[in-house]
Order: sequence, then C-alpha cells, then structure tokens
Amino acid sequence: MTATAERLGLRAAPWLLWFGVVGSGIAWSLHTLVNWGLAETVCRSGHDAVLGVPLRPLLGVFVGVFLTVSVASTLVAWRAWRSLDTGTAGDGGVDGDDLAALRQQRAAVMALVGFGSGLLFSTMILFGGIAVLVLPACAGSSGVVSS
Amino acid sequence: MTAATTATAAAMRPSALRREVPAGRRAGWWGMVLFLVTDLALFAALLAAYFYLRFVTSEQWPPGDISEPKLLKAWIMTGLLLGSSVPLVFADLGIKKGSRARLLAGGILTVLLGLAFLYVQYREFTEKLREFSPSTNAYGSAFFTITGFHGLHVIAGVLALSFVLLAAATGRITRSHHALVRIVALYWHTVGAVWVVIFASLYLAAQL
Repeated sequence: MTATAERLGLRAAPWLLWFGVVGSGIAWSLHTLVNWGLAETVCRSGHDAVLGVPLRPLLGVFVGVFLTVSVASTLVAWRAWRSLDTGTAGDGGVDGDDLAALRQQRAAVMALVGFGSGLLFSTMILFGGIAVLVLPACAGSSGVVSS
Repeated sequence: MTAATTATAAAMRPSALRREVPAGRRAGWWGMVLFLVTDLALFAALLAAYFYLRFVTSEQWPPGDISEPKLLKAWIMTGLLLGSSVPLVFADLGIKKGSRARLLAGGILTVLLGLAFLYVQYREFTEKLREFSPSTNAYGSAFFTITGFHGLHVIAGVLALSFVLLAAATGRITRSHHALVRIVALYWHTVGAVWVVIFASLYLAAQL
C-alpha cells in the first residue's frame, strides 16, 4: 500500500510540476472563454438563464471551479519550488552531481515561474468573479450590429 | 501515514520533481513547441474574433448575400491534410529504424498531399472571390484571413518538408541524426489539427 502510493507519487511528480507551471494559465484561459462565451451567447439571445438556471450564479460557479484549479496549481508550484530550492543530498539532492544540479535548478525556475504566474492568474480570475457578483450578468454585453 | 500523504511526500521530493518529462527532447523540439503555442494563440484569437462577429451580427450568418459555405471542397481539403500526416509518421518511424527510403517515400507523399491541399484551397478561393472578397464585409475579412493564414502555414510546411527531403537525399539525415524530421513533423501535424478546428468553425458551424 505504502510502496504503491510512493511509486504513484514518484511517477506523478514531473506532471505535478507541469500542472504547477501551466495549470493556472490554462484555468484563466478557460475561465475567460467559458464565462465570456456563455454570457455573450445567453445575453445576445435576450435571456438571462441557461436551461432554467439563472446566468449569474452559473457564472459564479464557473468562477469558483476555475479559481480552485488556479489556486491549486499555484500551491503545487509553491510547494515544488520550496522543495527544489532547499533540496539536500539526503532527499535526493544535488551534491557532487553537476547534471542533477542543473536539472534541479531548471525545475526550480519552472516552479518559481509557475508560482508567480499562478498568483497573477488567480488574482485575475478572482477579480473577474467579483465583477460577476457585483454587476448584472448582461451589463457588459455589446450591442447588436448588422453587417 | 495515509496513502495520499505518502504519495504527496514522494511527489515533492527534489529527485522526483527534477525528472525531465517528456525526456530526451532536443532544444529545437522545445523551440518548436513554444513557437506552436504562440501560433495556436494567434489562431485562437482569430477564431474568437470570428465567433464574436457571428454573435453580434443580427441578421443571418453568413451575412448579406453570401451563401452558406459548400462542404465538398472543404471535406476534400480535410481528407488531404489529415491523410498527409500518415505517410509522415511512416517516414518518421522509418528513419528511426535507419530506412532512408521510407523517409523519402513518406516525405514525398506528404509534400504531394500538401500541394494538393493548396491546389484545392486555390480553387476554393477562386470560387469564393466571385461571390465575396475580404473587403465585402466582416465575414469576408475573417474568412479569408483565417483560411489564408492557415494556407501560409501549409506553404511553410511544404517548404520545410522539401528541405528535409533535400537533406535526406544528400545523406545529412541519418538514423542517429533525425531530430529535424521529428521537429518538422510536429509542426505539420499541428497545422493539420488546426485545420480541423477551422473546418468545424468556418464550414460546419456555419450550417447551424
């Protein structure tokens, strides 16, 4: 049981690092696409609900989901950065091995970039969420134009 | 200690985190990945602009007197471009096993299918230009910009593949030096995948 969990963790580690680096960026992109697309389409059709569900809480749920993913990605990046930045020989550290040191530095920079961008993207999703709560859902919908 | 805690502790070990995934890729391959990410973002922006125009247009779509896009040529183009990826995979796997003949055969077939795609697109453009042009309305601008921009990518891909074939014919691509094939193949497969999205957005979705 413990050996299986450890093997699973070791196998997942590099993918977790990738999640920490790009997860929040992808969450923000999807948040922008889904929320903007949904609001624009529904408001354009003259409605304020999707299949009977009011638009505003629905957008709020999407904000919550994407914000959770983004924050999780940021936390993973932060933990990975802390671990890589302070890694020692005892926990598979880098003493006496130039290539391992180089790889660890690369991974640490990736994690740091993921942490920084994660903070930025999470803030952007959060402010987008505040806008959803404060403003009427169809307030920002653009006017109908003809060709 | 629970299984989840053990897995997390193992995953956060520096020796596990610093493992390279995907492993063994050259700098050129990563360069192509980064280029394609920015390129895909540009296509995404163009398609977002197209859908925005569609949603804010009050009349029918396509607007004005423009008829719905016909699907026959687009289906043929889709078949040609997706089909062209198959011989390229064959070529890539061939040179990995040291077969230059497979690389040349697969590469030539891919180039021919790419050229056939460009010919059908040229015929498609000629037909469309009789009906509308990029300056007719916003739909015309978006249609020709997106498909034309993709066509430029196919031209670039055909040129890159021709360069690979030339290098292979002169013996500069071997079993131990074939990174260029994989990098160009990555580009070509991505251009094919982008076409599927364009086809679905500009041709199929316009019928809805």
